[in-house]
Amino acid sequence: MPSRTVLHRSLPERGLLLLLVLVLLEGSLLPLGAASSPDTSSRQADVDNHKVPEENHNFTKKAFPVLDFSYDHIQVPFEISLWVLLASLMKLGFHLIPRLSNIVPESCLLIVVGLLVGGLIKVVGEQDPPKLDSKLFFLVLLPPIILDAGYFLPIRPFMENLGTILMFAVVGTIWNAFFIGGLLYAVCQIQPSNPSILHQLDLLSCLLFGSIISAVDPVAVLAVFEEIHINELLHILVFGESLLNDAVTVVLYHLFEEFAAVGSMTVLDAFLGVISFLVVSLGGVLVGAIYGILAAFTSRFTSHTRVIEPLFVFVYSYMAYLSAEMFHLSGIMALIACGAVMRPYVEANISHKSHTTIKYFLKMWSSVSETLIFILLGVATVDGKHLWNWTFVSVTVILCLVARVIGVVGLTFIINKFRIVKLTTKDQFIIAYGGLRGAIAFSLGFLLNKEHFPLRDMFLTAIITVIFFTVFVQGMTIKPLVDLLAVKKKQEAKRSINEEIHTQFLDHLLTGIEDICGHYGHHHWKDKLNRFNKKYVKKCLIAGERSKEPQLIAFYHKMEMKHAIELVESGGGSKLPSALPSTVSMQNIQPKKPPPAKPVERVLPQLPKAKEEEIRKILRSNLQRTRQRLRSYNRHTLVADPFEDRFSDLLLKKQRMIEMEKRIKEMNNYLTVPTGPPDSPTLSRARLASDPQSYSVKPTLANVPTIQVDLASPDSADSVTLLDENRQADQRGREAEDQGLTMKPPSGPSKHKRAGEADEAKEQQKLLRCLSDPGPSADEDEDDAFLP
Amino acid sequence: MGSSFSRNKIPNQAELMQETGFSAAHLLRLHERFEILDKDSKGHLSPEDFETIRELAINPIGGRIIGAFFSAGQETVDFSTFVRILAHFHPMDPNRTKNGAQQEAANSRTKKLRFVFQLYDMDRDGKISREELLQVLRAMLGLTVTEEQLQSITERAIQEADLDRDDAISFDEFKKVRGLMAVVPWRPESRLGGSQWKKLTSIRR
Repeated sequence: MPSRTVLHRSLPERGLLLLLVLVLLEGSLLPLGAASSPDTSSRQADVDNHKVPEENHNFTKKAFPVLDFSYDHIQVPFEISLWVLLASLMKLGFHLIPRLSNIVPESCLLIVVGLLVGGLIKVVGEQDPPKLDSKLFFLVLLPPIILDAGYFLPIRPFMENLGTILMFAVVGTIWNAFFIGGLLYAVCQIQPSNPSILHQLDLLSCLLFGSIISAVDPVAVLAVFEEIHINELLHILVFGESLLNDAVTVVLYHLFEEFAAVGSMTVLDAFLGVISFLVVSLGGVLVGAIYGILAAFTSRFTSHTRVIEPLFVFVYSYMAYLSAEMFHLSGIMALIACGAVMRPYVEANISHKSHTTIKYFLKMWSSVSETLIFILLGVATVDGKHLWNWTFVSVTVILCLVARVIGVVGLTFIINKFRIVKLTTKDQFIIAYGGLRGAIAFSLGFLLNKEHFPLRDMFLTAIITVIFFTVFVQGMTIKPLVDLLAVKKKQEAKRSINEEIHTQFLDHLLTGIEDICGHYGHHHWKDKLNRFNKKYVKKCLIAGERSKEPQLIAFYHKMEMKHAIELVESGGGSKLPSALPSTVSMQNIQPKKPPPAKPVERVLPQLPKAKEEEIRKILRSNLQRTRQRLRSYNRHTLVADPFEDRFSDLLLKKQRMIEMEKRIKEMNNYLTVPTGPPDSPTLSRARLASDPQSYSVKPTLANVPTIQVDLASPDSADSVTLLDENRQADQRGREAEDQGLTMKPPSGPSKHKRAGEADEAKEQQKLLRCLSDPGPSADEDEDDAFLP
Repeated sequence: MGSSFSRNKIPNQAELMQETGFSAAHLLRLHERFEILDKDSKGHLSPEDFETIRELAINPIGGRIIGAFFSAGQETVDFSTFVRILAHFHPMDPNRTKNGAQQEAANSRTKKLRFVFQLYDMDRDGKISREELLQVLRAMLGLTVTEEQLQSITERAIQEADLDRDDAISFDEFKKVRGLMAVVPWRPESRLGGSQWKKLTSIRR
């Protein structure tokens, strides 16, 4: 091993190394030091991006600086990095104290940290504390969170409840805004005391304040609701509302802001406001959809440049957001539309590694963003200027609550007339209680112009108080309340193939019934849209063979691939023990495609028993070879992706077959054979790490040991314990809830995947460590197709 | 009541309303539809009448749906049967659920699921066998998949759902499939869209 030899020859080597480092250091500092010398020589010696301060020392000789300190020119990136690091460390810290994170939602803890940091900054006396600048917030911090939400939005529940969600978002927010604004104005007017500053507030300012404070905040909702795991319906209702009310907020905000400056508003303006609302929301969605389609179309051609596939997703989405913001349309809706539209097509086109990348990056960015937002909120609380007015603030808080409750109850009453699955009182309570306010309200308040709104500081104080109240009080108590009220929790098991089949069957059935009734209802149009999608859109946007693949088959393939990977992880391939470490390396690193793979591929479709032995031999020999390959890669070898995917897939399939052989029982020769030519992208499209939880089997078997390939098999008992602890360790905490690569294999896989693999579980513990990593919680993944 | 477009009176109207929970306006609408489908004014429907519905022809399980109306070897469907079968898709009547609401709801749901189950279980033996599931999948997926894939999927589906290992899905196992219970009840005729509906339902009971 190379490492050993280094140690032996260490001393002289180390000395040399040290010297090298010093020289390099001096080399980099030299231009810095040279700043003190006259300009001409410094220009020559300088590297271009050294911003050296111009010093007019004419040949004054200073001692040559061996070590120099120049903070200014790295200040901004340094501070940003420091903040991000702080945020991440905080996140890390919380999960090391599980009891704390069970009681207190993360958002609260982060705000507290922010308060502390803010206090620290104040104590230190720094003049310029980092503010939750609106520009920073809206352009940098918010988009990742929204994109994450939009990309992984569960389309089907969202669409099914769209009417309800829109009602809450639009009507509810308007009601809140007017109720709060109006009553605040009334309260301010009737202030008995000596000319209270409150008398300065005119109606429009109050309405503006009302509109700022009335919007339910997606960041806060996400942060809290993710930890309480309520059932899907409530989650999508509150969350959908928080996303869609952006359009309303934007319009109301701009409307009132414009006219508060002027001082009055006419009916025409109100009418224009309504039109503006339609333009803002629909325009935002349109912009997002256009960019989404562009992204989907681009992804069709990326089969040769897999490396930059995630980039397209991110950049197109961000551009959608910025374009929408440019026209003062609703950026959030654009982002959601973009993510939701592009997802089914992009996923069909990109490699599974890209999919993993996208998922992880989105989760990472959104998590960091969220953390930063809460911390900065805390800092802003301490450092910002405040104007505390007991009446105003307390009335605001009370009115927020009251308005929310009345709004939800009233709207539910109307909505329930049209809903099939009615909202119960418990549901209404949770919806009302889940109306958290967050940083968006603060940023909007921050944006207010001081001249037009002299009481801006008071507004900000009130906003912060409401945010604190909702996040702390409501955020902390919602979990025990959910338990107390026995609200239905999220079902852990995700879609099984049965569910998929039956859902499709029901769709067809209901469409048929609607046709018989002659009624063009919900299902009819959905069916038409599906047909259109299948016929035209998919052909355009999905590359190659995938475009013809029915959704059920795609689903099935996903499941199969996941199975296969699980089996490898769990210990598929006892016959190739020595090869398995290489398997790991192969999955992470791109080997060059070995020539013998070709004959194997061609053999695959037929697969008579005789050939299996040959295949096995080939595999074994290849795997031995790869172990000796260098474990390094560069950007360009990553291009070999499609082959790599296929090869590992083939491996898995081979291993499965090998196990199958071992079984002495009636062999159903039903192998999972991919359609199409051997280079069909179907194989390489396995969405492995993406949604391991999405497709495991029925709930009843969920607590059954993880590698449960055959319930009757005595072998599986061992594998149970091994994987289980792994899984449990991962399941602590939100972030660590790994369904990244340690997947729960479904409990009843088809016959040809029976457990010989269970034996090898012991050996493969190490494998798991390599492959698994705490990833974002997968329960956010609803890997539904766009139009199921 | 609203304007009567139907040529004939609806037989057993009160009884049907009571039994199925449709309102008078709904029944009227359905009767009208019945008469549109019944081209020769026979007073009952035959399979050919159903097949004229264009969308049903392209529906993968259109044949099965039509078959559901003609139970037990009957050749024709009269209006009462027509309505009764469509009643499976009617949500629980609010009047009914006042007494013993939960029980009613559960029963109603079960009835609907049983209807769906029977659409799978063509030979009415109370179980969805592998062959039957295969037929359904074949119908839904068409020609785009190979036989082996179909077999695999069927295999897997049976594996997942079949709890008692008898290689077929019984009704109880069917009920347990997650998400199915959440789908019922449906209400296709009540999501009013067309203006025709509005005309007829101007006075709703």
